[in-house]
Amino acid sequence: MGTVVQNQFIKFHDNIRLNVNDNKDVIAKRNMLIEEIRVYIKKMYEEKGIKLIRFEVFNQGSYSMGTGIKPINDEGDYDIDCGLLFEISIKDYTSIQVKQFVYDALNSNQFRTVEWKKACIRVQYTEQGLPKFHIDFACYSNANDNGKTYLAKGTPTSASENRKWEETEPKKLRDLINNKLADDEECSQFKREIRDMKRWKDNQFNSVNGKPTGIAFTALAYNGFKSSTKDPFTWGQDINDLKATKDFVNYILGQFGWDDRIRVSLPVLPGNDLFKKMTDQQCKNLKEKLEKLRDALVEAEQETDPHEACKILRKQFGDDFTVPAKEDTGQSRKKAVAGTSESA
Amino acid sequence: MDKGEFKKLIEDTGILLENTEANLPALTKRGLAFGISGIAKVEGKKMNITVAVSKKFPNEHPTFFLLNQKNFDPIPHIEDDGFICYTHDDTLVLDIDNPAGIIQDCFVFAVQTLRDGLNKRNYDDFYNEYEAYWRRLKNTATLFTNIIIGSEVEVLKCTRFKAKDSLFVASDQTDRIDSYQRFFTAKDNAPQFFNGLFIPLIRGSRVFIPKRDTELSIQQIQRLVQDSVSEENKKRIERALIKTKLEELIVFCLPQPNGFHSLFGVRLKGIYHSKHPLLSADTKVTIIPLTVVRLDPEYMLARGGTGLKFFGKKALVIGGGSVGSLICEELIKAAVINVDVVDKETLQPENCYRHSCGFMYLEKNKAVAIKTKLEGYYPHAKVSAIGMPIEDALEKKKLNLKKYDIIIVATGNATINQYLNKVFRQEVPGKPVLYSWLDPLGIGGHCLITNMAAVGCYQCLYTNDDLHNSASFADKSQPKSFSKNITGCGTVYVPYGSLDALDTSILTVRKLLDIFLEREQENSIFSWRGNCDQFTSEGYKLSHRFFLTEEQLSQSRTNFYKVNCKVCGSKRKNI
Repeated sequence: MGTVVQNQFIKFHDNIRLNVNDNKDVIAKRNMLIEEIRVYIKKMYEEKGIKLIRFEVFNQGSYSMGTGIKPINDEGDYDIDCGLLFEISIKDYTSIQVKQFVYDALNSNQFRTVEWKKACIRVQYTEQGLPKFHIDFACYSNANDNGKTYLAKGTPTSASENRKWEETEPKKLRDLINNKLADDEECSQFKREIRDMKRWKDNQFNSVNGKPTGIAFTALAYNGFKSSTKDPFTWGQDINDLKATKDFVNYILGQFGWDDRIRVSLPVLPGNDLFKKMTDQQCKNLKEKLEKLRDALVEAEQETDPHEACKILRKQFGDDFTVPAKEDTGQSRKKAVAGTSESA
Repeated sequence: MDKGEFKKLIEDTGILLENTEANLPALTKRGLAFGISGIAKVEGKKMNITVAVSKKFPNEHPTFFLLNQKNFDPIPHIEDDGFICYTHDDTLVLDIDNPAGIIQDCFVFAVQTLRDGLNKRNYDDFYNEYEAYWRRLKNTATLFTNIIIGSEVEVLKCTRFKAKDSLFVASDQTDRIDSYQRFFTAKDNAPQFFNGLFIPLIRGSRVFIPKRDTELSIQQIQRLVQDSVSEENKKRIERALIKTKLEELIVFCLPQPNGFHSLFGVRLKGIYHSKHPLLSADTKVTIIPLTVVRLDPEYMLARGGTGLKFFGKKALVIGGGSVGSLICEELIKAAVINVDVVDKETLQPENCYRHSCGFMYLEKNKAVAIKTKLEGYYPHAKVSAIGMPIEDALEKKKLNLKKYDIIIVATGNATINQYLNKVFRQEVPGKPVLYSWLDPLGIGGHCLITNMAAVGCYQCLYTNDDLHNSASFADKSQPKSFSKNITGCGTVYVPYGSLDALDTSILTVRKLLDIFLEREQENSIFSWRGNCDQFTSEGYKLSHRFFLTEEQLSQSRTNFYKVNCKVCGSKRKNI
């Protein structure tokens, strides 16, 4: 594939990638929140005699897997996931009790809102001068006799059966994704692929309804992504994101059943179907969009003019996929004259 | 080894009983130094056998004689002096440090020949080797033939050529008759042809076995015709003898048990035209037996390894340079005798040590030089030379691409090749086209098979930003040009050796034959890889492909196809 189109894929990725480490303010806020939780728990111990609960903090979600993307047009906000591994057993406290600790610890500042979510406590920042972002604190019980880890689920208003400790493997998904491919180029392309598809879905679906989740694409990529970093003929390096994307989309389409539903399990516990919340019609809709994406990728691949190829791709991936000007492709165009090594 | 040692050797082997020193005239006649005679029992029969050797023994195999062959029915492979032909020199390897073993093992072969003969197991060999027996007749002359072997009596055209005091005979077809000029490069006036007769014999005929140094009689010939010619052919003989002015020459064709044919002839001197000896009882005629030397393509080309499988195929070779000239020659040798070659250039001194034509064709157009050389070397070759640029040849309709079974492009010019690629896809889709070229300084050569399917063409190799042949073993980035320049612009060339051209042409012709045999049916590329020392010592860089294993090269041979190729990709534009 020409270098022009590949370069545009790299630029697209650079435009959409979210690397929170680049934003020190966000990091500082996160660390501050974690410190507030520690302080609160220590206060509970000193003032109320509640046993001191220690906890370990780790990054999870796209932030930890290197697959985070910016919201489109700065309309949405960043999503940062943080795991709190409490050294408690599920017999010591209920899931709601533990989440209540965190809620109370953080619900004390006017420049942020704290809300209950089924699987976490969310802190939403709207402070002036900061990017819009929220941090989801997932609370885990990590000191059980059976060695397992459990996620605190439910809200104070949930039905009783939904207020529970759920067995989980919080670090395993991160490790699976980060360790899937040993080769640096292949790993980089793998991460780019996930990001590209996440941005594609954000570009194709206007509302949350019927939009597949980022974790769904991550799981699909984990299962079916095949890198394209070598030329199949010369076996030399030829990083080809266009081909990799086409192959990946073909793989996803292959996961749809005869009923036009797609099912993919989270690769770690609880192993739930990540498309369960989508209706049949929404699945069908997704499939149609993926087919259009595949056709566009095939068309772009066959296009001899990189300018035209990028125009096709931009329609699918959005404005962050830039199209080089015709003059630019002319200047960096293929050679028309070169020295020969052939003779007879 | 002296006589005494040899005698002891034979005694030690125990192959013969009652050993005595042999005194046969045949020993001297056959250049043998000494021999030992004795008795051996074969199939319960007493055989008087002599084992003899030359002074070169044990570097040569021993010779055996059956001295009492008259006591038995005729045995094949036994000559009149008793010589037992149990091997041909070039089919045995001897352990020269084990002379006793050589004697014993060769004796086994000789005895097997006798055993098979006594049991009539090899009786067919008389007829499989009939020509050899015919050759032993007295006063034989040589007859060169270019005859189509058929099952019906046919009139032949014969001529004498004084240079060899021999005869030439051909089937009555223009190309067969005209072949005389090719075989004998006759500079005299056009030869005069007279008529002869081709008479096929019935398969399985047990014709007489000629004895050494005997003369033929007309009765033998008459009986041969009477007993071994079909009734239909007898009628044809009668008609021919009445209608045509037949002179003196008859060629018989005996189908051999092994599927081949023995040809042997007679020349009848002193006949009267009104009474041909085959139709009359007149015995006043002199018979000269004729030993046939076959020059027909069916015979000569059958020994080329590929047989006659590709005899009718037609090939177009575009480019008569080092690689193209070698390809043309190997095609002829593989019995692809119809070759058209196109080249606009003339042979220059600096080409001579790479080109198959060499210095004697200096300043000649390369295509013409190839035609001249190959038609001189290979009498059945039919080479047409088109001494003009290929673009002109196509434009002026000098070539009918559809008539060829295969096209080989050996121009060494990537620009022309791209153009030809488009032309062939449009004009003759599905017709195999092979591109053959070298990389510089001996690092390798390539053969691309294309046009057999819709996807995968020459242009795919150049579908990249660098306009670089992706199959090349040379990297796309080089510190300097490959072209060498010794005396100025007029003599710029890309360096490679004659062996490199040879390797490339061998690869190409092998792939061509594989296509004919349907072993290759996909568009694919094959490469041979040479030594890179000179290449790298001159500062050039090798491509990644050079370092692939043979297995990787083989696995990726169909992976050169580019989906965005402007010629064969799905968005190919009109040519």
